[in-house]
Amino acid sequence: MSKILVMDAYVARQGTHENVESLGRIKFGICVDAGLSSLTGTPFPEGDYDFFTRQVDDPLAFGGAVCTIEAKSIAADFLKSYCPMLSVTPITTAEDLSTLEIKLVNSAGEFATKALTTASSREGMALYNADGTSMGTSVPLSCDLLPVANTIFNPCWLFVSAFTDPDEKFSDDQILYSFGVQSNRYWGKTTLSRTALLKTKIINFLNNIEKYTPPSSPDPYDDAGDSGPGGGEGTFDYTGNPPGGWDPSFVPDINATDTGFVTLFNPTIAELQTLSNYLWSSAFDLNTFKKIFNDPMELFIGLSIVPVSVPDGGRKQVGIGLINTGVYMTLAGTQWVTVDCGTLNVPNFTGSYLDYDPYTRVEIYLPFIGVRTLKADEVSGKAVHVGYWVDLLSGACVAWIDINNVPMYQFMGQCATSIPMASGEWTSLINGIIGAVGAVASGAAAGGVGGAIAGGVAAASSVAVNDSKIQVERSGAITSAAGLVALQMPVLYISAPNLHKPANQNVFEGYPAYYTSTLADVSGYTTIESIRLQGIPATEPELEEIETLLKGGVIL
Amino acid sequence: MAFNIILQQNLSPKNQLTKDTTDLVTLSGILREDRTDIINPVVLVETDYEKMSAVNYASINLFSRSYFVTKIEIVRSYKPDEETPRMITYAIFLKVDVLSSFATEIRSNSAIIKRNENASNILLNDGVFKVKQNPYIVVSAFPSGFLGAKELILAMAGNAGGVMGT
Repeated sequence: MSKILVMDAYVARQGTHENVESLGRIKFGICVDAGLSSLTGTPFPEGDYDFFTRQVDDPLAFGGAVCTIEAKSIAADFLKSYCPMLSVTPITTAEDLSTLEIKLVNSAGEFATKALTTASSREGMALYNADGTSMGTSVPLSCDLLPVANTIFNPCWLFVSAFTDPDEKFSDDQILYSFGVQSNRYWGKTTLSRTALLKTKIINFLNNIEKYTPPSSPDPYDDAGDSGPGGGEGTFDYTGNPPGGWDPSFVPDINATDTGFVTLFNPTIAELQTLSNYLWSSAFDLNTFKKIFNDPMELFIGLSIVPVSVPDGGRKQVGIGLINTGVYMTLAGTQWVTVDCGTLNVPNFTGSYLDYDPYTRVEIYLPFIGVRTLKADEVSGKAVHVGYWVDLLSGACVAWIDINNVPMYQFMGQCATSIPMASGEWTSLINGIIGAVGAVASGAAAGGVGGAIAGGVAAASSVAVNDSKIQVERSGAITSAAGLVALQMPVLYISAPNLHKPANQNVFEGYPAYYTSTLADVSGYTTIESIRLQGIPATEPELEEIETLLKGGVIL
Repeated sequence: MAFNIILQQNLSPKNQLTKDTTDLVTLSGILREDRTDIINPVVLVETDYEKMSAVNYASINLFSRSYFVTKIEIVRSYKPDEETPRMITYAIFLKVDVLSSFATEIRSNSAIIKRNENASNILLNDGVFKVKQNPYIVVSAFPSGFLGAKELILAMAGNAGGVMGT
């Protein structure tokens, strides 16, 4: 929909019209004005023209603010009543005129623009070329013609038109010319018979307004499409559906021992010694054994030390192939064992944004796993629980870390220490240890200076607010035998900012707020982010100063 | 045109919305120039008040405004040997205190409060706090762990190692 701003009439002389017309810039014009009859000496009858109802006693004062406003309103009403497709915004105050711009647009899309400086200034009618040079429209008060100017803003145009002369008579056809700015015609006293024709021409004209198309050049990004509004479709539902936390009552519903191919004993040292003595004694019938196996050690899958209490599965005699050894051992009641390390409540140290990443850093040492990093965003002010699952057969362990009963982290490790039962296993064990030590050494080396004290609670392990401090490893891969001699319970390491706060800081500069409130409900030092001052009987500079002071900080 | 001007002393911060002022003296004053504005007026008063040096604030009810006194000039004084009482004409330079002058109206406005002394949310990070280079290192052990006795596990192939196992 086109938008037309209807400005008021200004007095100009005939030469103005000629100049404009000769430039060929005017695409159209509309004659809507009041006060024409005053120049004829015979006022229009009221209602003769429904848009020519304003009577002006002194035509030379026609540029004055009062009649300007009234005429403008009349013109706007007229346009709206005869061209509903247009959005017409009347200018209702004299001050509005000072902010208006006149735009002249030619067929090539060029436009000239000039702001009206004052509501009553006839220099406001001065027309300018696109390069800013004046078209020359000095308007003397003694002019005898009365052009009418209406601004039709982008995407339409402004134009100047309509003339009258107290002595000139003209026909209906002359009205058309005058209206269309096709020639310099004088508009004398009108009659009711011309009204309908004039209305028709105006309506036709408005229906054929050419839209102003601004100059354009090829845009290589046209294929990207035009931007538009978006967003605002959030649900703000942050409930989620977290799984349950660590539950020691949960066990896998199948054990390796259930298959019949594996048996797990929980022997004592004495029982192992008795079994060993039997295997190396003459009582062990090797001939019978070798009917099935080449080597008695083929029956032993592994012997290991585990850091947990093994559930009692009852006593059973150990058989070697088809041979009963006479040695009884306790069976492991299950393949899976849990270890509950308990809960730590992590406090909010300052209760501020400093309790979270990246200002606060949180690490956790997990037995048989090593040190892992936790997000302070997830841990601060929460309850941290650690629980383990241990597989007695393989020695694998999984540490569950629940934050407020929601499992947030799971790390895997190895907690069983293998005891070699043959030379080959010894070699594997040593190689495994060397590998583990290498992992520790590389972790320490990564810590640079702090690496020398890896594993300790050292100052070098602190976390800087700006991430500029050296990061070190507290441990490498602590598993198997190494894990047996390391810390046996989880430990939290929290690096928290050391606040340096002046006394009464809130009094002097306040703390961040960002909420909307009536100022009467706020007290103490306050700064304003945004405000729309209203209801204050102050001058404009005073209002500006008030806003500046409020934004700079005041004591309410 | 003469009007009353209340000369006051203000000890409140200049950015305080309402000032705690003490009225010192009320005088009749005139504008020094025929044309002046009410934001930065210069008022002439003639007085023998001896504590003009304590004046730093003023109110002019005619203008419905309170003012900071920015400067006090002595325009004219009588010579000591004159018989008339010692009267001095002062030119008091004023600057409007927009906060106090429109305090009631300002309070009726709503705004987005950026910072406040009493009601704040320090979970918002606007860099308000400074921190030292040496952070606190808090070390906390969990209450339990692998603290029990270590035990042995012997894994053997087959069902207890033999068909005769019982």
